[in-house]
Amino acid sequence: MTTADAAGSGASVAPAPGGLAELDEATLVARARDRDPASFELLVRRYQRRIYSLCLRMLNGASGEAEDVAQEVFLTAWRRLPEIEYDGAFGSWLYRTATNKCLTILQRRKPVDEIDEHNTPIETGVDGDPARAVHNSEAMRALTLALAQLPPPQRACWLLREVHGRSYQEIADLVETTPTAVRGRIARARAELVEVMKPWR
Amino acid sequence: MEMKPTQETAHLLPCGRSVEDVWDDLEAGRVTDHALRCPHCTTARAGLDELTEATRLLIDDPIEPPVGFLDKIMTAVRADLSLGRSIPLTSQVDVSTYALAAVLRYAVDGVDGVRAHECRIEVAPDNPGAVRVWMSVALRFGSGQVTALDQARHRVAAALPERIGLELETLDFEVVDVWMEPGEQR
Repeated sequence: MTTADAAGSGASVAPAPGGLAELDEATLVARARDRDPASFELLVRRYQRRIYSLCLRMLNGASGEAEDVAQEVFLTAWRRLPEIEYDGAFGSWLYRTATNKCLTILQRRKPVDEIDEHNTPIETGVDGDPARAVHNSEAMRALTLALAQLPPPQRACWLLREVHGRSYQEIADLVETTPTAVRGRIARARAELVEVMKPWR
Repeated sequence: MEMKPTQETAHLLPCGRSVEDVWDDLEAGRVTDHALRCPHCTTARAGLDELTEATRLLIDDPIEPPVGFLDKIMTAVRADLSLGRSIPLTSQVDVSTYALAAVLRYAVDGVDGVRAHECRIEVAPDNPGAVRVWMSVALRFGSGQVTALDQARHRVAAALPERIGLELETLDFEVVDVWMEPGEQR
């Protein structure tokens, strides 16, 4: 759910019941395609956390790079909205673009840069509860490090399915393969993660 | 080329079952005699349980984008908008069609049961003080749509002279979507 503030157009006529923030996604996409910045801002608010965290985990915690990629994803979306014909496909489009941009960056990286144990993002209790942070950080750190060791396309499939809840078909379209192959890739990723996380148990 | 999971790639346990078999049993809530007795399956199950728990923590992790993330995007978006088309109001003043569309959409949104989507505006060829408007809208499922569209038409016709100083020559609504309130059944 969005926590966005209602952003009006500045006119003083009676607003829609519930305000802009209550509008369905198809309406917001149609308006954003029509160059309405208030609607686009609400879409960014709805998706920014998900897309940024996907980029952060795909890029193994490189926060500056993740920020650059995520911003580029949204700006490309703004420019290319007229090409997204089906308004309900906006979320898929963001996930696809973010994943592909991250995979391209990882292909260019030297293999030695791939696993960066000092750059894991999830160690400090961001919610300010130290006890919970300590308890959580071990499991999260183990998983984050294990994820970093997966081949990037496998990591993408696993993250998109298990953390972001995207469908097998959607992921298959994204990595240009079949849903069955995606299932296989996720199964291998899962088994690898269990194997790599063993020492932490 | 994508490989299908094979005996080798599916992480075969010493007992002959694979990690994926154990996962399938876990997901389906199946407990077999073999799984109860087999130490390899028990170990794999413990590992998968831990992975599931760590995944849940990852999903709940309150990562937020860096400070200023949204502002940077919206600054670029608004700069892009300044390059848009405009309509002359007087010989010295133009109004951006994007701003005009926002005012008209807002007028339509004031009517219960109608949501404005896209809006196209052009100056009437024979009357520079009037505009032709095309707007796509979504309607709430149920009765009363025609009345709602009539109300929306009146509001647009009123908003133009009151707020902008232009007359409405024509207004075409195109219904492109229908929505239902949450919990409402067709």
